[in-house]
Amino acid sequence: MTLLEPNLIVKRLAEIVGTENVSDDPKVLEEFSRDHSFVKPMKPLCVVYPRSKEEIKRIVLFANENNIPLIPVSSGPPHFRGDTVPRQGGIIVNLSKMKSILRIDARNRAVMIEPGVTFGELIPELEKHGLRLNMPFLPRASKSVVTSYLEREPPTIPKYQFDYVDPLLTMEVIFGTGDEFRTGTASGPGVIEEINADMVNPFGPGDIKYFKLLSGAQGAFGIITWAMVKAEVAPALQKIYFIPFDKPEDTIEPMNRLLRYGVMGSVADQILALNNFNMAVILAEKWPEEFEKLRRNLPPWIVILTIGGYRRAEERIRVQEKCLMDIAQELAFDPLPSLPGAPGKEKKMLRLLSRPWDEEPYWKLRYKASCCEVFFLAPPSRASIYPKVVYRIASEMGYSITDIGGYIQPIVQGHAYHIEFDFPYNPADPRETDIVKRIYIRASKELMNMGAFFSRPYGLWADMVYNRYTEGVAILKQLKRIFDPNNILNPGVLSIF
Amino acid sequence: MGLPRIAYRIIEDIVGPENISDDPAVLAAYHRSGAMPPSYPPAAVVMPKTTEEVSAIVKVCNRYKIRFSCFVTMQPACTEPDMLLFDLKRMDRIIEINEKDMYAVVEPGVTRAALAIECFKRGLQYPAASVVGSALVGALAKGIEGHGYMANRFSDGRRHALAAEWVTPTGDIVRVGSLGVGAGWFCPTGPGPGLDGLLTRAGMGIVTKIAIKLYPWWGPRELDVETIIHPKTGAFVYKTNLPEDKFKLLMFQMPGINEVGWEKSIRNLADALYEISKAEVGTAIFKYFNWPMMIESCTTVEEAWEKIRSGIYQAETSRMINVFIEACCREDLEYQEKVVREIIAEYGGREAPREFYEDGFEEGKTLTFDQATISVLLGISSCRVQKFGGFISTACGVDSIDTMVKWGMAIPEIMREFVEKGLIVDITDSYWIVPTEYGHMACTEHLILGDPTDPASRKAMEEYAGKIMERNFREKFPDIMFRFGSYGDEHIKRVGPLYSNFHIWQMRVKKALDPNLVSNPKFYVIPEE
Repeated sequence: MTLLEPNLIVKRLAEIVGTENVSDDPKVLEEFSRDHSFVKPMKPLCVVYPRSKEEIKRIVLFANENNIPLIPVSSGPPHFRGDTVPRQGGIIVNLSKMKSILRIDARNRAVMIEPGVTFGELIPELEKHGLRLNMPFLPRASKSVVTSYLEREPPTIPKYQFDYVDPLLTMEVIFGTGDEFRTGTASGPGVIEEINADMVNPFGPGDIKYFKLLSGAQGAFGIITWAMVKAEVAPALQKIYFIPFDKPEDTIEPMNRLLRYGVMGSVADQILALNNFNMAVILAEKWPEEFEKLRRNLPPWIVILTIGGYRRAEERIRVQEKCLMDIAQELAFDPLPSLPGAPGKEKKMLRLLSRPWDEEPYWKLRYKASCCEVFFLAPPSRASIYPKVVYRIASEMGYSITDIGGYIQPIVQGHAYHIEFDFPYNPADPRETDIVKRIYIRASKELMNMGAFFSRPYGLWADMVYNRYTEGVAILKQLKRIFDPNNILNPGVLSIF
Repeated sequence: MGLPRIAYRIIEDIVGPENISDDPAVLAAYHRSGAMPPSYPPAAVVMPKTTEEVSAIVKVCNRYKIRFSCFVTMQPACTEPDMLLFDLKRMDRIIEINEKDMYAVVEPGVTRAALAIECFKRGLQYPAASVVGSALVGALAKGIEGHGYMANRFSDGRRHALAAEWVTPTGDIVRVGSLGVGAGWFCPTGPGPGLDGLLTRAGMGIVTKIAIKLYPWWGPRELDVETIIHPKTGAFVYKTNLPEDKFKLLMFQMPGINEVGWEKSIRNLADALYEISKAEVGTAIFKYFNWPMMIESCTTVEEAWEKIRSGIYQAETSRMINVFIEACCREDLEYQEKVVREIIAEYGGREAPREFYEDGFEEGKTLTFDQATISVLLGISSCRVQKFGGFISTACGVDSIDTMVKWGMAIPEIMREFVEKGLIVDITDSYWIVPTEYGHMACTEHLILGDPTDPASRKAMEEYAGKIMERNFREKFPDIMFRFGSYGDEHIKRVGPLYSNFHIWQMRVKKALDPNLVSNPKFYVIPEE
């Protein structure tokens, strides 16, 4: 194989997508060379912006012919997890120009979108149809909806999540071989316009659940060109409650109960717990004065709960409130309609729960210019044991625990919890950066040893996790050889191929 | 030909001579003659007790190129001669019921009813996933994951599985999901790509332990099941009494086929299903599964035939919606019932007569349905339907409610000629629609009824299934409307290219994980590449 010179690569890509859709501008390359993770920076050769499935196919075939890595990226910056940083150089395949909302199916509550469609773009469109997304907590407005669901980011309405890949339904993918494939009832026959189905069943085709294999792969098996995802009915009436707690571990049992009692088994629509740091970061309007005041006045932890009314909305809410009070009485907690320590912010909180963050900087970067995330999954019985470990390690390593952002999200109908701690830091300060990096590594290892499940092993976690997963890794390698035999797609991102 | 003697001896050493047999009398019990697709008696049956035994036997199968399948309940499926059949009934331990994390870890032989009863004791329930087979994981191990009545609130069997212990086709033991990194049983997917996507069909080895999601149960910890002797037939009738302030079974007759025609009536029914599921009420909502549900209300096969011949249930149940409400308190029940009744009324429905609910036989009525409630809760309905015999399933799939409706449109026309000749029983409306995940999806299955002892009837059923399939192709229905595994390699090679070449990808995965092609190969796809 003759290796192409970089300038020739750009030229050949321009033949596929047009010169205006390829860039080797050093500033652009620099932007894609690093993110807020601790993954070693590396510049890509260029960035290409395909606009169609056909262009993606040609790019994948070109990459195979010339042995050039491809790194798919759909969301706009900032990136936090190292999954978009080239590990072996290569071409950034930036899907942000694939922005079509292909179908809004209000009857089946499903929406078909290209990977460049962001939360900021999709949500207003769905609202016109009386629909909403079961979306993660405050994603940036520039975050790709497809990527978010493909990467199993935790949604905030657990009652709608039937497994860990829900609300992702069907999708179209270009495998690393350049072959086109569609999952579930979108698989065929023939072109999607002719299929006599609404394409909402994610399972199959045949016996393999491809949508599960493709989830959490960080683009290492294929590039998604569109996905069908669930939408939900926007409630006719909604109420918000706040339940204050002193410690994160105290939030778990009340959330368990709120997801096991009530109409159709759940009092809660949206439900999550935030600590005072995160609450202050997202609610403060005048920075930094109001932030400091809120952080001081807010309770250490707050469970935020919304109750939704659909048909006979008021009656449903009355029943749900009765159930809420039954649980509150039994567990001796106090659900409040107003936000303690920040009265008057309730409406803003309600709005934030159903919208992405559309201000600059992104909320995780408001306090300091960078932020390190540590997140993992735990079953309900173990969710309460991990937070104190994180606080202990941070404290031992000289990080102020009042600066840690805390977020606990019940998922999969209350069968598990996403637990997340965010460590803001100043990347221009080498000492602070080093402390946060060491906390990140030590906490991750200690949590893993205790049984915390790092189900989405990004960045430096990949080695730590896959080293413990030898049985599964052998099979993942076999699958990689099938779907991407030349290891073109995002090589190194999972550390195992 | 049977199993190679050397292999038999080794397997005998693994499980003990009492747990393997090639006695023709034993093997005959594992063969259902006349099954469709055709099945064969196994060359031997082995009953392992542990994962390690399963692993060791599968390795022997690889060494001697012995193809194997597995069985717990439902019909055994040796799709070729000379296969080894794993009967997993000895692997019947409920290993753990984790109340706090709401899951149960079970072996393949645990039955749904056994698990349900243990769960009830702890204030939990397993939403019985299917009307097929009574073994829970056995269904998974065999690739029949099944759809249940309660899918509106709990989804179906494919969403219930959590982490698993899996013996691959080469005999390796792999822990899938959180279990794979020592993080327990709670999560099936990850780390990274979800290998749980491979755990379907026996063509991918054997699942030997699996965690299953559980849900809160607001009923009694001990299910009070009353046994009554049927005054007419002398058979046992089972009844249960659930607290009236938390549970309710509602049956509605929507405008029927005779009143407004096939298409208008089914579209109207579908609209009502959409509205109920969108309103987020009703644990179970479904378009009544005509004759199979009717059989649930009968105590003998003769009684069922009597009802069919009378035509009464065809007339009365052509467009029925059943709703099963589980509520955490009286206020919850009242709210859900009010919403359901309001929607039914909007779509012209009316509540079914009292005799649909009550012990009709005491008053000489012919329709009783209450017993179906027990089936809904325990997932045991297959027992009666299986005994009834003589049916085949022509489609079983999941997509939207509307897709299920469109699929059903062709039934009357295609069925008419066979009914007129008396070869298929006139049970036109025997397909169900079960809204799933708050109506985001729905499942359908269509069972036709004939006389398997009559060659002409049997042939007619096959012809009918073939005509339905031709129509599926013609009208471009998705892959789930076809029973790929049942129709053989040639068929797969014909249809695979229409469905994203899935047969080729599936085969590549199969060959990578099962290089000797020993794990129930015919149930997986083996086209030449």
